[in-house]
Amino acid sequence: MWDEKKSLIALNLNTLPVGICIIRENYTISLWNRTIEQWSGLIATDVLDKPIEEVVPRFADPLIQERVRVVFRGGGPVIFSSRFHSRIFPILSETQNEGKIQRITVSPFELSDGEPRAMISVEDVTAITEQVLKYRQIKDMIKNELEEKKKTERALAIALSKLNTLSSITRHDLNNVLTAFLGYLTFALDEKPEGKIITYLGKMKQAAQLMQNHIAFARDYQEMGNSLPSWFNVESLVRSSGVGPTFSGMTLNVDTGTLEVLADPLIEKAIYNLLENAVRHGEHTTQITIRSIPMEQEVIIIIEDNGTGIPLQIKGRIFDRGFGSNTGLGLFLVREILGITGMQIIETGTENIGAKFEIRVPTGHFKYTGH
Amino acid sequence: MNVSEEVIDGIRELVTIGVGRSAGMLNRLTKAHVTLTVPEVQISNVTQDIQLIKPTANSINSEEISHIILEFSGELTGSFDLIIPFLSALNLVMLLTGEKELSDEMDALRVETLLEVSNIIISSVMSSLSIFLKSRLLFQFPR
Repeated sequence: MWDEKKSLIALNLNTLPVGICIIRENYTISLWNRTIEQWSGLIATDVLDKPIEEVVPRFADPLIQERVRVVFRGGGPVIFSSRFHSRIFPILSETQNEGKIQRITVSPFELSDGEPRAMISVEDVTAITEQVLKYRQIKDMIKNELEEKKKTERALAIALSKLNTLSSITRHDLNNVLTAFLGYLTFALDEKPEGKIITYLGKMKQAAQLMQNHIAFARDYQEMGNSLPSWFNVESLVRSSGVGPTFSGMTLNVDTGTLEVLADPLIEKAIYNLLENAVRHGEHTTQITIRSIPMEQEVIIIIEDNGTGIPLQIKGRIFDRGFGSNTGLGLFLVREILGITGMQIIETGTENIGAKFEIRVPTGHFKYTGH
Repeated sequence: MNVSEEVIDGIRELVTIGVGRSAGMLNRLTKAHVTLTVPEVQISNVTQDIQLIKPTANSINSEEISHIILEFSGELTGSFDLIIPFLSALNLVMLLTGEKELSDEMDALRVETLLEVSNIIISSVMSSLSIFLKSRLLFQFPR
């Protein structure tokens, strides 16, 4: 009966994908399952009843012996992790993967004969260990790359700051020279020259003014993207931009609720420019309306006026660089500023009815406060 | 709960033996000098005297914890719980295994290592306590 029971246990333990070795209190082997046979190349019949340290030399280590003793003393299961212990059970070949890295648990094992035994289970953790080590390697690599990226970003920020300073000083000096140049040109023109000289002086003055425009453009363009985008309430933007003598007698209708957009801080200038254009080019503009239309994936902000509108023949060029007769930002810069955070602007108005600008704000770049 | 000072002394002595034995094992395993202080022994009814455990819980605050549990049943039924603040557990594992790069992640290998370290402490104490018992306890695997 007892032999039958033992055979049944051995049969069951043989089906497990874990190496199992059962030892008696005198450390002799009473069971050696098929999985551990395969990993070690040692046949059960050759190892049974032999002292474990004879078959598995690592068990001669006093530390391991002491810890196994804890199991027989009633201290519960004992774990030997792969991190602290190199391979304990031998394997058939160094080239095999099975059982190469082992995690071992020794736990009390009692049968009805009352003899104290301990079951040593050997788990193959080769695959998981290699995966974790590979994962750590990848993580370290990403960490190093991030650190490199941060260093590069810091270096770029310093370089950008230096370039901005250089550019600012150069612009300032150029402006000083140009102002003097324009002053002398004005004096020269005041002398009432004759013939072709007056034409040439006039052209020189135009060229100098154009240079001033280019310098102003360079200043505005340089400021773009220098600061991090932040959230702006659309109504506040419009209300703060549409003040001053330019807008006296002008009615501003704003119906954008609590809409906020993520934008470069220069959006204040962009909005001012759009409003100022409505007044300057609309000729008889008395009303500017700003509203928003929520769509499925975006929101559209509409800025329209009741001025003369934009003539059909120039509609295609209004967003080109250098277009326009004024020294302001220009619609080119307005488009660039909005574009930093993915906004797009188009003009859809009708000549003689009024100009109409549509700003499309993509999802994730707008929100309604209080929602 | 009223337990005589004599019994508490006995338990304290057994725990001291267990902790001392585990410190010795940890020293040899990690080849580092590990000192474990003897824990204060308080016997309490967990459901009624919960305030006794509160100082421990408060010292950990809301920080994440590493919790190793060994459940047992038989003549005595219960669990041995080792609670370590997460970062301390992570630092302990890295210190014991000699990892140089700092990490904030308790991956599978580190969990396994922590389990062995905790297991050394828990099983040593449990084997000391088992002197009291007439029959062997049944243990779950530590987790």
